[in-house]
Amino acid sequence: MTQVRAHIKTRSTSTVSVEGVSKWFGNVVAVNDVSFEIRPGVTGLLGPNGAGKTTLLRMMCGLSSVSEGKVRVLGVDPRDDESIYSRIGIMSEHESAYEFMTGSRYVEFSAALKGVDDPISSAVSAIETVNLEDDAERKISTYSRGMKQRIRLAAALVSDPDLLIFDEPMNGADPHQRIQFQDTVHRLASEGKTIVISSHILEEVESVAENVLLVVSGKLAAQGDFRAIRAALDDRPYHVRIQSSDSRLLASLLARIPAIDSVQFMPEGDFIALTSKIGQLQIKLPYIASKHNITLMRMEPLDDSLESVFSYLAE
Amino acid sequence: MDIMVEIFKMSLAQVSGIRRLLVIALLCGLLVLIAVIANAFGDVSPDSFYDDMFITTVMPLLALTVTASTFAMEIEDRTLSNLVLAPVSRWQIVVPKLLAGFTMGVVPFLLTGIVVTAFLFSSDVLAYSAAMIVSATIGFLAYACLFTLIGSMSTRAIVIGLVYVMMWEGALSIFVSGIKYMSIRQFTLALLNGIESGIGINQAFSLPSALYSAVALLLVIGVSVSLTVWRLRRMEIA
Repeated sequence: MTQVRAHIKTRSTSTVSVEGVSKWFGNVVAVNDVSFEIRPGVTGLLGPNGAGKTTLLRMMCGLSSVSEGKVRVLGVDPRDDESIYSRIGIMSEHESAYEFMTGSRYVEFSAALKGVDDPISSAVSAIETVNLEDDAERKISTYSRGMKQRIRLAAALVSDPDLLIFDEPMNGADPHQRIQFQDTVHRLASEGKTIVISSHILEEVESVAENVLLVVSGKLAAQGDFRAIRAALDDRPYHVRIQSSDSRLLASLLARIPAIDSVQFMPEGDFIALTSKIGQLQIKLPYIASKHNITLMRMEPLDDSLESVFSYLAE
Repeated sequence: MDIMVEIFKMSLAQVSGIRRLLVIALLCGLLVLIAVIANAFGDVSPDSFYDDMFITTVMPLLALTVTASTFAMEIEDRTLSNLVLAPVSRWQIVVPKLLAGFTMGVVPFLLTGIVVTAFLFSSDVLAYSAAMIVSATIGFLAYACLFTLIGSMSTRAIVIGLVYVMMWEGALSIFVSGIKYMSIRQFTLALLNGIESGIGINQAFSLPSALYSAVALLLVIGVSVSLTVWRLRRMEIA
């Protein structure tokens, strides 16, 4: 019973607290009055490139000072109390392993820095977690980008930290490594750890994060349960450009289905369909075309860029 | 302590790049070669060679080679975050990193110094060597601390260090005599002279005094290390 209470208490206490934080570089405002709390579990920090995600993470890690506001990690300001780093594992966006070291030496060195009691066996275990045992004695300079990511992940995990911060962790990873990373994250989350994953790819975060913080242009645009945000995303209006052997007939047929809000003909002969039910359009379009012997040449979503997706969510 | 040993070993491996080793070998080898030639012809005053070449020229260049990039290198290749994201006091990062560069430079420098002393001085070789080792070690450490501080503040530490050595301690000191009271080179030479006169192998002639110089060198070391620690604590790291 005591254990259950303790667990509930841990889950309800925020691991990271960001209060009214701003960061500016000269006249450029990178982060503007952002407040949020992060609790145990997986939290995705989402936003397009240049939105301020990395700046936020750097402030949370203590690598960068805040211009205004307050950051607390596990109850303290990481810029003032370096002892907190024994409880934090960080994997930054940029490759930053010592290239002259072997993989195992690098993870052992990281373990020693973190004050781990038995750096060698902890390093072996962390390297096993990322499946890099066979290449652990090779110099990091000979590693591929994906392998470098994995050895850095091992270095972040080696001290078994309470809080893990990953900035764009799946950069350079192949599909198998992505799945492996997701499995590791799920396991760590089930152990009650707090994990923050930054990414500009929605699907990447969706597969692991329960909660999401959406950052657009340095501001916190949305936060909360990922499913609610995904539902909002599914209902967003899409402009889809369609090219076919008989655009007039196909457009008139599509205009009759409820999923289509409007159609607009283009001078080139093709047309643009506006829909807020993209899923239904994807199912019905091939069916209608086939039924009326219309050849589909091209179907192109016009506003599927990350920026437009994030802007829509921010609205 | 274990953490400092780990950082020291890592930093030593980091500064042991082949190019840096070549520069060290070149500077030390050149010094020995000139000493041998000077000794063969016998027309160079041992004292002036010892002071002008050994401490005045080679020591700051060697110290610059091994310490100016201590932090600049880690900032540039983004490895510094490995150290600053560890539960380690900032001075525990600065001191072993500084000592790694210092060790890398001072050991070949002192060995070269002993060889040069043996070639140039016909008598009192041991006494001269002892005076040289003490003064050069403290002088080298002062340069190492200053250049490490500059390296933590700028990625152009080598250029700034060269300007300090060539302009401040070199060209400007010829015209502005007061610079001798604010120069690691002069402090080291004065300390060397003071020790030599103290053990009776030379006469005391230098300004500033050996005591003033020793205090000034320790002050340079203390202030530089403190400022590097402060700088590391406040640094914005990419």
